[in-house]
Amino acid sequence: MTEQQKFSVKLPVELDQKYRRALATELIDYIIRRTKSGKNNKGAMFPKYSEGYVNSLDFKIAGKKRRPVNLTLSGDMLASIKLLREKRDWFEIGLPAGDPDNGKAEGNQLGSYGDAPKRSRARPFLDFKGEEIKKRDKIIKKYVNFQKNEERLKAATLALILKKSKAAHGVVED
Amino acid sequence: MAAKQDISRVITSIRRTLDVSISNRAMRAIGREAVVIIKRRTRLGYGVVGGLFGNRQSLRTMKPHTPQYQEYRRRHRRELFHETSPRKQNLTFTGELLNSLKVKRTRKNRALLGFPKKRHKKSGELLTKIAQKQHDAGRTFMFLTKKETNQLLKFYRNNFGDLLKKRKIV
Repeated sequence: MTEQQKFSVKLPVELDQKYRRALATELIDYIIRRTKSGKNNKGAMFPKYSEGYVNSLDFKIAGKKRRPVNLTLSGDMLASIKLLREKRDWFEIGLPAGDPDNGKAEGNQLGSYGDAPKRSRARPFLDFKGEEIKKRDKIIKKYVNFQKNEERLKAATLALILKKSKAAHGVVED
Repeated sequence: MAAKQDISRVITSIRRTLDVSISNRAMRAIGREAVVIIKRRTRLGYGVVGGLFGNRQSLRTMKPHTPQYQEYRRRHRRELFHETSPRKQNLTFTGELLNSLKVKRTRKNRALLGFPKKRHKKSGELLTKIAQKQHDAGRTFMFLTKKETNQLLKFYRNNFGDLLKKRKIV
């Protein structure tokens, strides 16, 4: 039985839904970019493709090369990654339950490819581990700052409007 | 005065960037990417199943060739396009049909994909007619699935959606 492939990310509670969703999109894009450049969730290179796969017709049809190992044949598996669930302080990213690409993703994550899992063949591409955690945190911080800047700008604009309207109505401040 | 000029410069560059991002050029690029997606998926041996438009479509492996046709393909192996094999059902024999799929027309918000008004070199039939026959036989390939639409959206966002950022306007 194929398991749903997903992971969760802890977030600062102050992040609004708007910024949370934008952050999720950026993290998903980052995972896709990282995978297409041939790197796993720790930032290390994926193990190379088997000779059988390299010599297959599908490999040729998709116009793939030995390097980078980018887990992209039709592109559907990576296109399936989306924001699954969200709460105030965390969200879950992964493949939707029941998606047929969960099987492919599980094979890559565990190195099973239809057999018993084998770590040396695994190509984990979801989640952030090792050095990648720092990069994830940097992206999260960027969005927290975006939100803070927006709040600051709103407050400043409001103050300016208030000041101008007071002046227009002849209110003198102490 | 200087601030006014500055703002008008920013607005002009935003307007120019938006014009590019919803232009015929953008639609043509998206259409070309859609052609690549359809060609690759069909050559891999998958068709589309589900409603005509919208997001309910999914992939389905194409019906295999009949044993007689497989035998015919085996006998004419040398004429086969390099991206197929006698057993593989991927709407490919000489490769002419899928290779001629292209962007026919673009408007500001749509791209029309199709085949040129040409006859197939081997059979002499119109390419559009061959494509229609495959569709009628249950080998639907001229549509995009939901995931493929997602791929296209990502392509648009990466190439045109982020232009304001790339041009350092925002």
